Amino acid sequence: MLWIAREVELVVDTDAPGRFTVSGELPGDHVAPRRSVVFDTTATTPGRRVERFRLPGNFKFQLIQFEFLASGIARLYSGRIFAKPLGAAGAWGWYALPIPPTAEGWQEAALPIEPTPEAWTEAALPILPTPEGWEEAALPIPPTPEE
Amino acid sequence: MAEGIKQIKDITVVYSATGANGFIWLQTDMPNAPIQTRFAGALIAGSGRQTAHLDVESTGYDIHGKLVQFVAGPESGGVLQLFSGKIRFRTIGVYLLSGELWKSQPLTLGST
Repeated sequence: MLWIAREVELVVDTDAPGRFTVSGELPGDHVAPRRSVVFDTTATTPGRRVERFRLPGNFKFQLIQFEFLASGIARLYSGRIFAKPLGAAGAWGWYALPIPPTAEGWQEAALPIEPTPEAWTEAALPILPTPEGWEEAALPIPPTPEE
Repeated sequence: MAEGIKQIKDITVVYSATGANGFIWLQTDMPNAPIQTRFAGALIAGSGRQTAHLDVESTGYDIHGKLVQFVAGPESGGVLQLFSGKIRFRTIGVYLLSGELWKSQPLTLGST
C-alpha cells in the first residue's frame, strides 16, 4: 500500500542536539533519507518536550524508517506520524512510531531492607527455671545404729 | 542504545538515627557505567523512628539506570536503624548516550 505522510511528532528530552531522520524507499526503490531535522530540547525546557516537524509535501512511501542520532543523552518517550493511505478510502490518521511506551505513572519497588515486624517477639532469658515444688535432700548426718 | 532503562523519582525510608545523621546513597550504572553514586541524601537524626522522603527528581537530579544499588549508614558516632523503604521509578522508552543511534526497521505503516 502506498502512503503519504505530512507530519511527525516526537516526545523527547535531549541534553544536546539530536538528529531525527525519516527515510522512505520512493522514489528510487531504495530506502534513503527524505527528511532530517536537528533539535535540542535543552534550549527550550529542562524536561521532555513535544517536537513536531513537517515532511516534504511529495513524501510518499510503502516502507518507512525512523532513526535518531544522539550527541548527548537523549530519551525518546513516544512518537507518531500523521499519514494516510493513497488510492484508498482511508482518512488521515496518527500512527505510532515503534518506540517502546513510557508509562505515565510511577511504579514502586521496596528497598531490600529486612522487614521489621510490628509486634514484639519474646525470648526467654538464660535463667534456669525455679521448680514450683520442693525437693528433699538428706542432711549429712551419719545414721545412728539401733543396737 | 538501551531500552528498559529506569528513571528514579523518589526514595522513601523509615529509619531511626541517633547520635548523628545517617546517609543514603543511590547508585546506578547510567550514564557511563560502572555503578557509582548519583544521589546522596541525609537521614536526619532524631528521637524514635521517622520517615524521610527524598524527592530525587524535583531536586534537579535526573537519575537513570538499569542496575540500581543503595548504600546507607550512620555518620561518625551515630547509630542508624532501617525499618523499611521504597523507590518509585518508571521505564523510559528509549535511552541514548552520546553518539548512539536508535533506528527502526523499514516498516509498512499498518504494522507499527
